[in-house]
Amino acid sequence: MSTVSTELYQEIQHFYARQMQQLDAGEAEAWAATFTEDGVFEANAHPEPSMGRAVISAAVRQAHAKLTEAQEVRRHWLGMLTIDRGEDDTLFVRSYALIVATKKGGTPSIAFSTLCEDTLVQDGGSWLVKYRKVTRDDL
Amino acid sequence: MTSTTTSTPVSAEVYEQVRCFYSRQMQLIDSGRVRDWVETFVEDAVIANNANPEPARGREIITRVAHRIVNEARENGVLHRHWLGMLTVDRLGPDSLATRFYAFVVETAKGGQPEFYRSTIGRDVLVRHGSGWQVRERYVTHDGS
Repeated sequence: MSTVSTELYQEIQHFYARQMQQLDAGEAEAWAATFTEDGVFEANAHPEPSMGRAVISAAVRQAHAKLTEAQEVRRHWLGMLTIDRGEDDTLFVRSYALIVATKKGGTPSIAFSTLCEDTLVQDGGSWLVKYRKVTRDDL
Repeated sequence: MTSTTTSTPVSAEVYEQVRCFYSRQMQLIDSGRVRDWVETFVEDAVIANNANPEPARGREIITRVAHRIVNEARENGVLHRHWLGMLTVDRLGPDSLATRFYAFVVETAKGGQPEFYRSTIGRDVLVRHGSGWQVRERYVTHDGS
């Protein structure tokens, strides 16, 4: 494994910023499109992994509807990225994410602290998540 | 509301430039340097947020509002730190950019524990100014309001 250029590091940071914005805005289709067609989302908070874009987008739609009903806004702050390049230009990205939650009329608080482990692959000019594993620190 | 879906991302160099711009801008307001801070906006800039019905138009009004906010914090004996992140930068034209970002404000009273004061999402239009950038429009949404 080797490290990546400054330029690529920036590009990946930009990728995550957009992806987190899409997630928090409940843009389920756009979010799912940042995964490969057969992408997998595994989390220790979920009983089983979501496999494929259709399942991944449905999960986000459902989660966002719940939050909307509870009048709660969440912001995923992702940082502390390490990026290693594997074979065939696959990237292994490890990052931390804090989820800041604000209820209507309330003050923000940290809902969760998590570890995010991604395998990214390139598709044309853009990067896609092939496999994501999210581990909540409290579980 | 503009979707995050359609995008024309900028080069890594411009992205970095914009990040530095925001770091400086946030530090200026947190330091109470209103006069320097307001120069990061164009003369006829507009700032609006979902908590206030009336947008602030032009540097003169923006300066007045900023002074009021800075003085309020001083009178309350608290310091504010704006943390800006999760920034996306898209090109609108050769000399203009559309940005979106999250920002939270940490408030600390003298001798006290830091607390989240506010969580927001911001959308800016930046225009070229010399070798850097200035804000032409800013719309901030306060979470929870």
